[in-house]
Amino acid sequence: MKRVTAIKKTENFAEKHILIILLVPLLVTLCSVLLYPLGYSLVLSLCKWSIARPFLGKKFVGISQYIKAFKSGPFFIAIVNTFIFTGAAVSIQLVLGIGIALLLHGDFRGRGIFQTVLFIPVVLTPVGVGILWKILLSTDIGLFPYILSRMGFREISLLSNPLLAKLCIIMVDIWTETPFVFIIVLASLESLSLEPFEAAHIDGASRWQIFRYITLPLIKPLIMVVVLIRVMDVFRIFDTIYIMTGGGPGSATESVSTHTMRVMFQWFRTGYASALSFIILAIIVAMSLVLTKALRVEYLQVKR
Amino acid sequence: MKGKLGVCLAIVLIGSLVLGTVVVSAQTVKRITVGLEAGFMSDGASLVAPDFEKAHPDIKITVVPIPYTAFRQKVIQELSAGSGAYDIVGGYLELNASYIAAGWVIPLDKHVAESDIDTNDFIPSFYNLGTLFGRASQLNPAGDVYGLPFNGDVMMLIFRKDLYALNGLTPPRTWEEFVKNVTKLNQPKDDLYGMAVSGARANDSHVMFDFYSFALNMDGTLPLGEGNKPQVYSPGNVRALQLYVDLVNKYKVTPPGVREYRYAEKNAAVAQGKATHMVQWMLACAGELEDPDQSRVHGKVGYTTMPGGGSVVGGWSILIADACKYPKEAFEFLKFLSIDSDARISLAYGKGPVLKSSAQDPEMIKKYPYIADYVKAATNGMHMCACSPALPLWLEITDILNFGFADAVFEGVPVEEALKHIDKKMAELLKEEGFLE
Repeated sequence: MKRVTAIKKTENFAEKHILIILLVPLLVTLCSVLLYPLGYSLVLSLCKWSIARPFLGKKFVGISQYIKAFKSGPFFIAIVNTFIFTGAAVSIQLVLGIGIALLLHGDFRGRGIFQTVLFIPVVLTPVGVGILWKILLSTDIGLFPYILSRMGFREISLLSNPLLAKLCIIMVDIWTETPFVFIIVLASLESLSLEPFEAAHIDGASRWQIFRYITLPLIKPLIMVVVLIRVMDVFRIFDTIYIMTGGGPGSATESVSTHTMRVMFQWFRTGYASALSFIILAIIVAMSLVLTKALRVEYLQVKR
Repeated sequence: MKGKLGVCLAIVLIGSLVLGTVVVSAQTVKRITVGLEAGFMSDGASLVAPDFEKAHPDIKITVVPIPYTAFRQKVIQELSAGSGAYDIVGGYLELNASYIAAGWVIPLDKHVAESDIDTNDFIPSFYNLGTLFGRASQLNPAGDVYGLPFNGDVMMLIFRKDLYALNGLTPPRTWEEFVKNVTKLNQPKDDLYGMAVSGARANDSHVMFDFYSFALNMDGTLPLGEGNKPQVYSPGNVRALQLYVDLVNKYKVTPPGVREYRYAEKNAAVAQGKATHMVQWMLACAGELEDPDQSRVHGKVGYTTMPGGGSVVGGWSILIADACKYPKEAFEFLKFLSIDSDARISLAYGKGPVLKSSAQDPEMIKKYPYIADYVKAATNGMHMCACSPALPLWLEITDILNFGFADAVFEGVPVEEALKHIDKKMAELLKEEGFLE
């Protein structure tokens, strides 16, 4: 009798707490893979420690490494560069992506081939893209400098000039990721109901008016999602810069990611690199919150 | 039923036998993983490893090539984690100092003493990379010798001897002759430039090697003085850096893409016939320049010392990681690579020989007629970290040097200001880490 009661009690407990029981493996994994490293990294950011100099030990220094980061010229330059890349690349990708999507929206012969070809840059590995463009833009052997030299611009060195190198990095990111924006916007356009457009046609609206007052408001929530994803991606840009310019010439193309990589994996200043990582995380979270709030506002407006 | 049971038992028995054999074999074979720079070093080690394995059937060698740009990052990460990923690692002096200070590599004193190695046969500059010029025990009192030399090289002036002959020029013995030769062979309209220099403002740039190749021949000073006091700002160094700046900005003898140049791009500029001079690691670049498959100027390149006769010396050692399970066996392979295979790998891949006897090998002299210059330069040359070899901060200091020199040459920072700034950054670093009062 006691055994039966015990079994029944166990079964009742399991039934009542089945959700928690099933979630335990996930929570354990999350804690070990996400929370523990994050927590340990946070502790490291408060310590002065280098893996290359273990004999100096770990020294607790509080927030001094965060203060050092904000006073650091190279990190400030990296943040400014990163904001420039993000702002320029995302805005141009958005305009181009929407434009291409509008062009390819609708049924016509060869549309599938166009879409496939246009999507190729997205599926290339970032390292491959970096190597490809480094060769194309190389002053000595690159196709583009050769074309420029034929046009009379002999002395132009695309990856050696600070301003041009920045523009090249932005251009490469646009080349790689515009198809992503285009495919998302195209999918959004394809999912729109036809009635508002038919009504607009009947009312004699022009193509620009249809785009401005019907298409754009309807796809705005999705555009905000795309902007959110792209901003977070571009802010963490690393591979292309590392391969193409290494952050140079000077610090002209140094991004927060390449700078943090340099601090961690070339100078092995583990504690300071952890502090930089948390600063970057805070910036990305802040931007995400702002964009998510704007997205929610847009979504509510469209819903009305 | 009995039949089925018998079959099952037989399968289990055979399976256990096979598995046991595999496990036992795996346990009796001693596996040694060697992490070396990708290129002639890892290729050379892979070439000779089978012969070593034949002579030592219980040892299995795995060579892992690691690109130079990722070398210190990968190796330091693995060594600091004690992962045992590498049993033997390569290292140049700056890296060796870090390895030794952190206790990631074992001292070889006992192994060397018990072996038949004749350390007098080593070219001293290269042997000293593994002893930090006799000061390794300052960083780690466990021993004096931590590495055996594997590859050596010297920075030499590389020039187009065919164009020299055509223009009646001789290898420069003064800096005035050097400037004259470089400007004479600078013909931008024909896409031919006087000099390829390192320009990339990057950690793996070679700006500091180019600079010290000038500075050591202009009464320049090494980066640190007594008590680790930064002394990059000095009259000789000002003269050297000014010449470097003038080559690029005043005489304009460098190719347009020079700001992107690291080691490989500099080599390619000369190999493709774009530049007529460069300062480079002699034997490392000779492999490319003399290869008809890679170079348009094979057979047309000459090698000489800089005006003044001094050379920057460098090279790689091979060291045994602390986490190595078989240090005795690893030392046997170390010895095999460093000594027994020195001439063979040098002949096959153009690795810089580290033994005096290898440099006197008739086959070596036939293949590399300039080998005597190499030995002379290596013997008389100087390693730029020799001022303070037992300092585990050279990795960061060389970054400060590379960036600082590049700023003067390419960012328009006045020479004196650039050198003072380098001294200031080095002083900050050394004080912060407790190596300068």
